[in-house]
Amino acid sequence: MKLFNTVAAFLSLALAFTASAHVSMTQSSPENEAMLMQSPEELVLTFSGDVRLAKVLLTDASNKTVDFNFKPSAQASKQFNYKLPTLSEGQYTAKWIVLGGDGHKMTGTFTFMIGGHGKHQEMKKEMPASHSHNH
Amino acid sequence: MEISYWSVLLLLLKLVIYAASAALAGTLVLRLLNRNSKASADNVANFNTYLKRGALVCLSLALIASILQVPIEAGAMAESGISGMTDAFMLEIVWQSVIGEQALLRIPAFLLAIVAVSTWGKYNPLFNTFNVLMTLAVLIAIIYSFTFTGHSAEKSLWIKSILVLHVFAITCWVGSLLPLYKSCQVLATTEVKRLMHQFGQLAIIIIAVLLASGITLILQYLDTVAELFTSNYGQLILLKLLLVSAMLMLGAWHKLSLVPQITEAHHVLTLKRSISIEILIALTVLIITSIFTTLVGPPM
Repeated sequence: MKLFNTVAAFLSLALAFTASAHVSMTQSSPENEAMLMQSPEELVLTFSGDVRLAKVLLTDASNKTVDFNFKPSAQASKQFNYKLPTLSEGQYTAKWIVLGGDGHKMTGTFTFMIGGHGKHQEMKKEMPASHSHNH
Repeated sequence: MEISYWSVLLLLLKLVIYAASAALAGTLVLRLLNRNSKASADNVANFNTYLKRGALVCLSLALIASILQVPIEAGAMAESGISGMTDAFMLEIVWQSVIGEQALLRIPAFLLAIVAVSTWGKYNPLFNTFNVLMTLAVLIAIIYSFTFTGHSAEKSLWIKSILVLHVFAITCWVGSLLPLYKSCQVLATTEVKRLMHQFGQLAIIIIAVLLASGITLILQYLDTVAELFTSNYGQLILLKLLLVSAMLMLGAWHKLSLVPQITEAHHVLTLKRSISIEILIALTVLIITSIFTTLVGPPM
């Protein structure tokens, strides 16, 4: 276990200064850090290349998982759409895991909020969603 | 950047597969160089047994690694502990991806390699010629499987072919080092000198192929020479080049100075020590390559 920790620490250090050309998520709906007036009808994930979507975990502010009948997709695609149930007000986090066309695992998260409290239009922030790749 | 135990496991699998490919190539080279040996039968038989056993151990481990790769990748994808390795959905996703295709080629290839190595030197000369050709074909298939994943996955067939040639040259060179080191212990001084001299001749071709293919690949992967210095990927290539240059200098010293001087046992000892340093550098290159072909890509 100690050896694993050492190797993992070394790899983290090595990766701290690296960049990669792996596939990435180019767009999501709702967008990252979007503030919505009402519950979104669907969740859309768009990637820069064909990927196989292994997992999407949608959690609310209390870290409770939202069930939206997610099924992993063994079929490679650039875009994935999922109908969402009506979500109550609050902050949500979506975590995704994909397998890229090059065999690399990629993970990422994005957040959005429902309930503008007086806001009448959808606001989007410029902050990109976080994503990383690993094996 | 998230590094899990799965990442470490997958890198170890990759290292095992690299090592087995090098062992297969190295033993093939040494077998060909040794085919006309007129030295004492006992010495050569001991050396051949060592080559065979070493290759079989590496190939068996690589076969296990190739079988384990799909469930371990599935476990890494599932992020739900060990049970993720048997998650049917994750296994299906991984199996239908390039990782599945890679396993589909590697598992039979390593099995065939084990059969080929186990039957070395048995039966008649015609069978042995067939055996050498089969070993060569299997080695190329294993090396070709490296192009399925990672940064070369979406490159054209000709770039993949150059990569195969490049890796083939590397495995022949690096894989020969440990058997050459062992030859210093097992074979007679005159036999070591003959083997080293022959390897030195072959190394000229290997290094020419290695450099020509390496330069072509750098030009393909990087848009400008400046990226060698400015991008992380380029800097890692430079680090690899630095280490390979050190190996080349050691190799040149062996060929031009140490090997011609071999007349007594203590000359072989000096050569053996120098080869052990070359092996350490080669191991560093292999570890760096296995980490960074997995985790770092060329500039976008």
